[in-house]
Amino acid sequence: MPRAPFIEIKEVSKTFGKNVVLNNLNLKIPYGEIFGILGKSGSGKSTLLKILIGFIPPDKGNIFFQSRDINYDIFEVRKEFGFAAQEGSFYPNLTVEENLKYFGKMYNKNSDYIKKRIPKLLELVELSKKESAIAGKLSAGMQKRLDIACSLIHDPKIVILDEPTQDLDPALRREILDLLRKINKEEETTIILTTHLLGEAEVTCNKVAILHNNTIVKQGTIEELEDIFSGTKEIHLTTSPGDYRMIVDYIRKNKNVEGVKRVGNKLIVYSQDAENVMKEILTIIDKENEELIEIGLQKPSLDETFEYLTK
Amino acid sequence: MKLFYIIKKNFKLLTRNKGSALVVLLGPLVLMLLISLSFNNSTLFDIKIGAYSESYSELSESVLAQLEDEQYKVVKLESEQECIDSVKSENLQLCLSIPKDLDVKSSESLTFYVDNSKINLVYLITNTISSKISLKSEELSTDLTTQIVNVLNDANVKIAAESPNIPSVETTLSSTESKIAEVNSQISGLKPISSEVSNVKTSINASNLDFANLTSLASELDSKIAELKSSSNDLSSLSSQIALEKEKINKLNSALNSILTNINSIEIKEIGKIVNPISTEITPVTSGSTHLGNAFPALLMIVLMFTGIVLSAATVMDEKTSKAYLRNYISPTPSILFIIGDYIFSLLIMILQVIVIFLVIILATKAPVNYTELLNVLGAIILIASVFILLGMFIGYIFKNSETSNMASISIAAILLFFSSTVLPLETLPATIREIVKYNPFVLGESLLRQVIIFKETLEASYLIMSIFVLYIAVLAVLTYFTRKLNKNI
Repeated sequence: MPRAPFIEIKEVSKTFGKNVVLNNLNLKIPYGEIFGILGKSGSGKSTLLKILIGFIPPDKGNIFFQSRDINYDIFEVRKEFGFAAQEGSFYPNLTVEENLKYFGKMYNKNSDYIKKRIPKLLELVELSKKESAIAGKLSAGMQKRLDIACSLIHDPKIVILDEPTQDLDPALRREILDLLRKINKEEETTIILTTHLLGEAEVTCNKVAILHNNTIVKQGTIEELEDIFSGTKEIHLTTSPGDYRMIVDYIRKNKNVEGVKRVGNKLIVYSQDAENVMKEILTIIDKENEELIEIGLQKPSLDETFEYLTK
Repeated sequence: MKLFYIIKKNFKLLTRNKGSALVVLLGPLVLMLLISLSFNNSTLFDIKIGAYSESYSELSESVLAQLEDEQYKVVKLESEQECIDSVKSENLQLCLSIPKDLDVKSSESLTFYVDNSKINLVYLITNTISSKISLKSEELSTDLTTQIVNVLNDANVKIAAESPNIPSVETTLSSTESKIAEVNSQISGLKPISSEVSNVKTSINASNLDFANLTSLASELDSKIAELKSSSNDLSSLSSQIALEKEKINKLNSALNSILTNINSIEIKEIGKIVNPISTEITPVTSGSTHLGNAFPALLMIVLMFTGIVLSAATVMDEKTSKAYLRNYISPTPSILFIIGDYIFSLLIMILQVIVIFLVIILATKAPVNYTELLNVLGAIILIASVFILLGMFIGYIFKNSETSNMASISIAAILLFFSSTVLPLETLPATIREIVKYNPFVLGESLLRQVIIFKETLEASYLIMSIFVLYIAVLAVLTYFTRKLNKNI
């Protein structure tokens, strides 16, 4: 199997009226990964996916799948792609089995293949006992799993999911993310997903790309992204009664401090020289008669990296 | 094969909701049944006519009696304005104003007040009322003509009976005239006898005494002769008068003869023929005798048009707004297959509807089934339905949501319906618009169905209409295809 690039997005731009959604975007997605595209709401993640699946054409640029330009061979490429939209893409009035049969046919699969594939898929998405259930009457989590099953019916090489855990409760989110990992492992399917929930990407994706200001600002493994802050550490500080004015005054004067923010009763200070900055902060606390409740050093999370990259 | 699954999926989606399936399949049948029960007759019911007259004569009453029957109820009103107002308020369908003391000598006419805004009813009522009034008028005309003809017949008989006497009068007058002339000439020949008596007296030398009495008698005679001669002038005058009268009698005779000739030359003497010399009889060229029978093609067209446009637009809109649209769109299935699938699905539904309608009609009327005719009807229905299905699909792909799509479907269907002969005759439209409206698929379809259902024509006989339909189908299919390609309602 090819290792890279499995999908290559080259200088893609898309404008809706005067609104530039994507601008000269470049992205390489390797085979066999769970690839996350991170971006704030309205950053153009869904547009990028729709261009990727050939639903809307880019104004400029090309998309290559295994070195084939998808626009020149769209029907062949589509056979290799599976897609699951945010709100699900199946017929709520058909049963689970009818939906799978129908989409299997639409993807040119013969009846024998579909007959064998359905039980396997239902087992994979844990809907084995629900094959005769009306899709619209399933729970939200089951509907999401059915949608993923529909996107896998034709055994695609790549599955693209737009915000797969949108509107699900935390338990269901975990279920779906576990399922994606299972699909990636058992079906050897490359998965591309978009999300604005960084925690999800952190625990699910091997690689991520951050979409901001109409383009990809950074891409790589989670660790690579977190290494953007490799020298930076966070000082987490909580005092009582929590008057941080003197500390903030000091921080503003210290060149080794990169940033500061207050989260509730906690003060977070970013610095490449965290140990020394922490010592000075402790001195100020003593002088100000503040009671130290908690102080510690941490590495910045992906959340913070994302926030930093998209601020 | 994919096509089969697309159609099967549409049927499953339709039949999953039993209520919707029943409405789609049986809705048109219910519509037809309701219309059949309501309009399966050829008359009007419960039409109220208002009448007003300052004074009702015998003739007025008889006109009103003529109008009143099981269809029409005549109500007398106190004033003409009240009568007109009742028409405006729809309490009455028509107001009849009758001149005071109407009789046949009256030069005034009856006035009808109608509400022209009730277009289709007005024509129907005025036609019927006019024909009823014409009937009464014909009765009166017959009476008057009978009188005239009777008088003429009487004159004819009398003249014929008396005119032979005229020549004998003429002869008598001629004989009298000649006798008068004879008498007159004899009178002219009379000479005075006094001189003769005097000559006689001289020749015989009789004494005056002897001749005194004779002379006196002669003088008396002379005076009588003189009187006679003077009367002879009267006789001459009488004679010339007789000549004049003879001339008059001659003229009268020739006039009477001419009248007799003229009377006898009238070939038609039947009153009915004189009153209504040209009799008319309206024979329908259609076999249906009820409103329903005649209106069946139009009703079927309404079902085909509304079902075709609304069902296919709704099918497309359901598909477009369905969660599954995106997955279908990105599947390696060409757009044309989805279009054909939706088209065949709608067509099958409509054929099912028509089969149900025809089955019910055949079972209800026990009419003999002619399979060739049925095939022609089916062919026409497929052609007509195809146009409306593709039009509905085109609408479905153009509009973004079901509200606007439904509005557009119903509006377009209503426009096609209004610009047809169903509401108003096309002949009432201006020439330019009429030229355009001729190509209205509803008008063409109705014409095609009338040909195959009522006149039992074959489809080949309507090849021009069929060619136009094929053209419409081609244009709409292309438009639908490109609209779907361009439309991504996600």
